[in-house]
Amino acid sequence: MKRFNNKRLKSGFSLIEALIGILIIGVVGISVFMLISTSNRTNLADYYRMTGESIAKEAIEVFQCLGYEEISGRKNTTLAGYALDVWQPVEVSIKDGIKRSENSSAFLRKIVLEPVENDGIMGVLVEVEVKSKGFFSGLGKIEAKTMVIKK
Amino acid sequence: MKQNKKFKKGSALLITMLVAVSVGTIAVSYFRYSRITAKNQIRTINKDLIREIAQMASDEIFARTCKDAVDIKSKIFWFLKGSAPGTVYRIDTPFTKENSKHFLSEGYSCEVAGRIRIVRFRKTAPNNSKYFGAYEGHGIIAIETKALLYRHTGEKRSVAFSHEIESHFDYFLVSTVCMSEKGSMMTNPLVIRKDREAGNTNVIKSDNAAVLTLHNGMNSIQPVIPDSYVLYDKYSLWSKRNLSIEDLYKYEIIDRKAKTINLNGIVHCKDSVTLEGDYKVAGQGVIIADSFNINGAIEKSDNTSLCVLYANKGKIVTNTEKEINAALIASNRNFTGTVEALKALKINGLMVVDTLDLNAWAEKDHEIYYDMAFKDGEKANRAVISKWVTYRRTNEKI
Repeated sequence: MKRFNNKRLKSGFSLIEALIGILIIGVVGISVFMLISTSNRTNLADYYRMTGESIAKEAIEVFQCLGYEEISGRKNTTLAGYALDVWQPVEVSIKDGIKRSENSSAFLRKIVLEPVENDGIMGVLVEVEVKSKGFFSGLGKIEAKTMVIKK
Repeated sequence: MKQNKKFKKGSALLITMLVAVSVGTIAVSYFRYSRITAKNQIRTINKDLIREIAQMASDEIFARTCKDAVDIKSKIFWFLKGSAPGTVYRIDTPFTKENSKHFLSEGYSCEVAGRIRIVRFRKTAPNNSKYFGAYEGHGIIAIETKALLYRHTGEKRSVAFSHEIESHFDYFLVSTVCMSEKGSMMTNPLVIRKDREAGNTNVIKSDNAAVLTLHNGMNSIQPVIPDSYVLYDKYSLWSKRNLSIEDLYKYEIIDRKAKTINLNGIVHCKDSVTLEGDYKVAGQGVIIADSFNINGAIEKSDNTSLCVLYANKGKIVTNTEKEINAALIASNRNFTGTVEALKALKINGLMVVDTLDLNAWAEKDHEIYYDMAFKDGEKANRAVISKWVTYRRTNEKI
């Protein structure tokens, strides 16, 4: 009876308290882990989205710079090193004068040109789609569009 | 001691609950942060989208202005020709309205408004010398575009973004008939600047059998251009300078496939120009080159077409019997400019030469019919807009 007196019982943790504590810590721990995991994935997705957007915008800028005459006067399915209407792997090389990020090779790019005309004004709608080669399924497709007008 | 024991009682549960509440708060904050990030992503996409639409509208207004400026029947031409600084002209953008659907996602719509404004206009060249033509001068136009992106929620709509672009371009107003204070200098079918021994007659004969007959002339070969005057010397009104012959082909000023000469204002080529075959002239303008070889007809595409071919170093050689609808000018500071006709020459236009050496012409009957279009300086004004943006301001609002 001396060993199980009231004072001793009161001074420790009960089994229920400990179990509830462990449960809460477990739930919290898993939540924190998921939080960090989601955060990392979001950061990674943002990074790859940013890279993908810069790859898409690069083509938009180049085609705007080429101008309507150059685009509409093309004689084959390649223009300024860009293949048209097909998914083309993006190269990191700088042989075309454009320096891209190291991770650019993880992307595919497709450029589609659509001639449009309205009220005597001629233009070409340039649609660029970028997607990852499959390593990052959460990214989806990144789209960019511009209109190159005959001036 | 009693208090410590009481403190220990249930403290693990309290601490874990406190930690849970803290982490829960962090999780909720992170959730809200994620939502804001997602919203920002949509906002960034919409911001890019409305910027593209505004840019498309700005490009359309520029294209429309350039297209209509070469048409003397258009409102834009008359706006450019006669408006004072500060004057505004509104331009519709049907192309942008039609094609903005390619950019907009569901639940969004847009409105675009555009106008051109005369920023300034000067009637003196950069060296302060005066342009003689009543309308001649150079200035700046502003193309102002405003695009609004609307978000639709139910029946309500609210402005999600607005984007404004103001772009400035240089422009010229130039007369293609070489104006003086009295008006057009091209009022005679033939002007011989140095060798004036031919006399006041409408028929000029040479030592050989070449005969040149002038039609519709006033007093034929009375000099109307002073020796000291250099034709088209206002370089500040030339729209393009030092082009090569390849540039003339590249810019389609001479379109070899369509066989047209597309003119608007004054262009200068540093090479010799050869016209093989028959050409049609579209627009009004002057080609200044070292020399010309004309081996075919030059026709007008319509009544308003006006073509001046000016050899400012060498001579103009014609090797065709077909009608040449153009002003042929061969004149330079050394007074050696001349025209040589290797076949019977028929011009519907006029001719200005330093020296008329009919002995070098084919022994045929040659004729010059004066084209009255060269007399009316008012109708020969052209508006030329530079393609280069000299100033750009953008303004975004959320």
